[in-house]
Amino acid sequence: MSTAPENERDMLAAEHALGVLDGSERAEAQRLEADDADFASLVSEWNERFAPLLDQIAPVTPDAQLWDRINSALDKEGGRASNVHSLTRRVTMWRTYSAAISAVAAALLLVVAIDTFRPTPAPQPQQPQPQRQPVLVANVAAEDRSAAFVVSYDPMDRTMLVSPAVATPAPGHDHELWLIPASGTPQSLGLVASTSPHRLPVPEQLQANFRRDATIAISVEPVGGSPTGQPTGAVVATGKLVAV
Amino acid sequence: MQEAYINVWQKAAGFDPARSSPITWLAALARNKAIDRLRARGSRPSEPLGDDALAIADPSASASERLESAEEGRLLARCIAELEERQATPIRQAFFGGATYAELATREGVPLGTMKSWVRRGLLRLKECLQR
Repeated sequence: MSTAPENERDMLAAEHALGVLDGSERAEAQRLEADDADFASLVSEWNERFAPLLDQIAPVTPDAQLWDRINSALDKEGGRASNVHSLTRRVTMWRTYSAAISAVAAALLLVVAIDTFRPTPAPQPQQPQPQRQPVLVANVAAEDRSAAFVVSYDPMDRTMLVSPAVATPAPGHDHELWLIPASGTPQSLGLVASTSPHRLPVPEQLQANFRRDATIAISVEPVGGSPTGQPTGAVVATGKLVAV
Repeated sequence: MQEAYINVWQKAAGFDPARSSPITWLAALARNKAIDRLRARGSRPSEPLGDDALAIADPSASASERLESAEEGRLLARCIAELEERQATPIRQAFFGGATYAELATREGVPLGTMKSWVRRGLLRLKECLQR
């Protein structure tokens, strides 16, 4: 079938977004997408057209160590990068995306479906870097996927962003967030207020406890929260804070 | 999966909010990474997931976002249903199973050019249908 040149480009963009190209054709489409803003726009338009299909892919919760491995890999990246400004920009973008990340886990099923999980070597212990105030992120997920949250803490504005991916406590119950320092007792961070991503202020006396290796936990409590100040119901999910 | 997340980090500076939504952009990056893996391994892709996969709405999306995405999903499903089966099936298998033109042509027992022509016709009709 013959098509006009502009249609030919749009078709190449469509085939690339669909993922049906191989070998030199795929390489050429990737090169165009990187170098040619008009072509990249065409690909984006096709990605948007196909986007509803992603809803047909069942979501998966990544395993709890994933953040640690990513963090370790990114620290190595950071060691090579010299452009502090661009890194700062990326951190800003990352903050914005932490809200969307749990949703994209659905799309990652494809990766899981075709790639058997291979554990990577344990990350090297990191030297503490007192100068930096990194954003901390915890992937708080239950093994049985009954609850999954991404909690991020931004030391710049001392708030945390709670992004529930799966969050439905039993009727008559609330989900309560806890901060568990490396050595210490759980401290309440308040109730999960919504099933949408939301920002919560962190009380001043708790801010110092937001450090790498502290744990964020979610427990099921009576409506209104734990009456004792300590978790009284089942802890349904935990996750360690890592710096990004 | 780790690679996909790291890829997000590396490419975050290139994201243009005017061109696409963050979730679609992230999903496209993840799919691209997965397809690169598939092609590098040179093995056959997993079986298509499409018809068996559960349709689960993103619970973190707001009600209005969910309504809108349900509306878009219905429109896309209707447009795919309007395609001929020989156009719709390879499109689904490419999207969900990561199949290449060569693999699709082998599966259907048709020449490569024929398969390309079917898929391209299908994609064109899909675009026209979504614009109506």
